[in-house]
Amino acid sequence: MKARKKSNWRAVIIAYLVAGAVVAAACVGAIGTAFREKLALGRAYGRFSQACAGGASRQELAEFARWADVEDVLLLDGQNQIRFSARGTMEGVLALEPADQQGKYLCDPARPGVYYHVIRSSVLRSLESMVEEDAHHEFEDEFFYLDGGAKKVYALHSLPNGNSGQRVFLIFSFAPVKHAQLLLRLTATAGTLFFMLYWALVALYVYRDAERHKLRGAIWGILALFTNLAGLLIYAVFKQLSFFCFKCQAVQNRGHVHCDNCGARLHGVCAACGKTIEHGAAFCPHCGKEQEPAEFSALFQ
Amino acid sequence: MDDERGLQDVLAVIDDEADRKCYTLQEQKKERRLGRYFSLLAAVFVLAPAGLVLYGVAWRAMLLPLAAGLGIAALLLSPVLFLSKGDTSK
Ligand SMILES: [Zn+2]
Ligand SMILES: [Zn+2]
Repeated sequence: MKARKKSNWRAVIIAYLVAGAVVAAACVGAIGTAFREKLALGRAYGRFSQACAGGASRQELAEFARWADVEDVLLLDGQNQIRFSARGTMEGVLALEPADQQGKYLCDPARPGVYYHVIRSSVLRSLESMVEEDAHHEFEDEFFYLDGGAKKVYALHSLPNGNSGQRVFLIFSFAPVKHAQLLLRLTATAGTLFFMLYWALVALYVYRDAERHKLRGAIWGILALFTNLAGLLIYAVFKQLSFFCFKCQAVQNRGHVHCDNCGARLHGVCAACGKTIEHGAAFCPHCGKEQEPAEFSALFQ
Repeated sequence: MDDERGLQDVLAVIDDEADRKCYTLQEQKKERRLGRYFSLLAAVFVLAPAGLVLYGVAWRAMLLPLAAGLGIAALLLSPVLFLSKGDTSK
């Protein structure tokens, strides 16, 4: 009975871990597939920024401009004169100034209706915010609600091109990943489900174990459900302090000579004073009388 | 007269026995109800947070109540740990 219960829990834990691994692999695979272009862009950006640190050639700028989410790659000199536009979308001077009070957006008075949202950290950071639709929330703030949203917003990232004094302007127009929101939400749901499943399994273990020891399983289970590991710890300490029948595991009073659940002999009785003594004790702890060795314990000595 | 006395005793014993039986049955019923309550609560604990996340609540928003709950539980239960240390009998 005991062995069967134990192996049951082992099977439950193995099933839980295997299912968790399978679901995690599926989620990682699905996200990796859905975001593969964005991830590739992130890696390409890493290489590109390194090229810029050493001074990137126009051909390298043009190459980076081929990515789907890249609107254009510009090369500006110290006077903001556009020296090179990889996709040829702009020429002349790019004179950027803050478009709102907070300075979240920039615009060029010469190009009305076009706004730039500056990304200071890595592109990957912006990929993330774009994917979570936070960027859209930002765009939907009061500034962009003012006149109907006929505005075009690009993400702008600038970095120096070597030590030529020129700067590279990366202009992104991130396309949202298809089903990204749903995919991330499903992944989060699966993660939450598995975490709470672990939580409930801890409580279920306490419930079953307490029932096995003839304790009040439901009470202990509910305690563990609300407090989880803290409840499990309390239960473990409680068990440590209690005394259980070796045969049926039922909780017993320490003074019991026989188990009140299965009748197994738990303790000996001193022949001289009649008090309960440990099974196989050499002397009675109450009156000091030497005890006869127990019938079978002599065999194992 | 003696018979009367004996009958009274027997009746008292039967009465006690009936009460005891009634009490045991009630306890069992209570235990079963608590067991059902436990199952229901466990299902809620598993499904409610997952359902909220599926509905669109950010999973990060659930970390705070989780941490707070665990902290309060640990705080409330810590005296039990220290109290039970001294009491070794059932
Ligand atoms: Zn027993
Ligand atoms: Zn003795």
